[in-house]
Amino acid sequence: MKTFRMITVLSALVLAPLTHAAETKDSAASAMAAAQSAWDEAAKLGYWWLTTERVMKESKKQFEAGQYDEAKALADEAVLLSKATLAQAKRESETWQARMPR
Amino acid sequence: MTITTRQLLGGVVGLVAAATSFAGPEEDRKAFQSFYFDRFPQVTDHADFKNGVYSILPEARVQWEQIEEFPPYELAIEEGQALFEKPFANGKSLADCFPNGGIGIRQNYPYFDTARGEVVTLELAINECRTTNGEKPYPWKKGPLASVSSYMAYTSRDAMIDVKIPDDPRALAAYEDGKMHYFTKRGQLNFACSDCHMYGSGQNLRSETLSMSYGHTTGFPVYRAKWQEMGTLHRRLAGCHESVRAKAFKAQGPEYRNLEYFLAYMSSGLEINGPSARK
Repeated sequence: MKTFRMITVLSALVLAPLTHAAETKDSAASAMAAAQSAWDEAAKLGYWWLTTERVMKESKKQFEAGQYDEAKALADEAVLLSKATLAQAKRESETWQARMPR
Repeated sequence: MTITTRQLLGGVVGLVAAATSFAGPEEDRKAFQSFYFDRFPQVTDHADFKNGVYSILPEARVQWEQIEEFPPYELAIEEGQALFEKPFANGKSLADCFPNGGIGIRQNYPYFDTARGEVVTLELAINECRTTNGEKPYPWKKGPLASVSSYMAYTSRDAMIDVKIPDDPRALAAYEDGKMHYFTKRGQLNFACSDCHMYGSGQNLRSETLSMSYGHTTGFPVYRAKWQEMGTLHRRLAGCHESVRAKAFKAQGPEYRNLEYFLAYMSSGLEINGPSARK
């Protein structure tokens, strides 16, 4: 019984990091897909920020290097930037004419 | 049912706003030019706006005029002329694609091609002439295209910009698209072209004075000290977009062609003085 317990504990210790790595990889991939989707939505309106593109490229680079936590954090930042871009697009579609000289 | 004063006022404001927002290109142009005339009363000869920021900066103008005595774009004009006159493999040349053999026509570009339903810029027409005749197109922003365009602008010096908006709803739509682009804030820094080059014109941004959009298109292509070479208008537009942290649109894509259409129409009546030199 003692041996069985010991094997269970050791297995958990060995497998836990692997499971975590798989989870963070999936999580990063999912965040990157969300970032791409938000970018596409803003780009469809003719709005795209250089900053967002750079953050997305860096996210991809980190993902390819196996740095999934960093990749996810950057992808999350890209989503926020694209949301801000969309807000800009919406506001500008309603207000740009106010800037015309009278 | 009674109409309150507030409702009445609201209606009047709405009508005025609607009338203003549907002002035609000619009204837009007058308001646009008047803005600069009022902002820079020291420029008594309005034709001088063709010289860009140098029309309001006397000291910088002296330096610029000295540069113009031995202009850095001279080699581009020479190269452009050679390329312009060089026959294609089929024996034709660029001159065969343009009215008046391509000489003295810069002021008519961009124009709205009603057959195609889109704005055609001089640079687009040059490259389309090449591809139609079996030649490879030039890169859009610099190099040979800027040189050929420089030569064609040089042959058009002193001719007044004469951009027209034909009676075609698609032409008006292209103009309106360019106008919207000009007044719309973009990029992470949240700037519109008009923020810097209209309401900020004449003010300093770091060490430089912001130029006026009235007269922006007259001097292109330009030799820019920052580039240390020639560049087309669309190269400059891309640079402006990137400065406000917006991703630039493709040179000669519909966005920049429509924007150029709007800008050139706003500068109607000013003389072509391209190619030119800028910081």
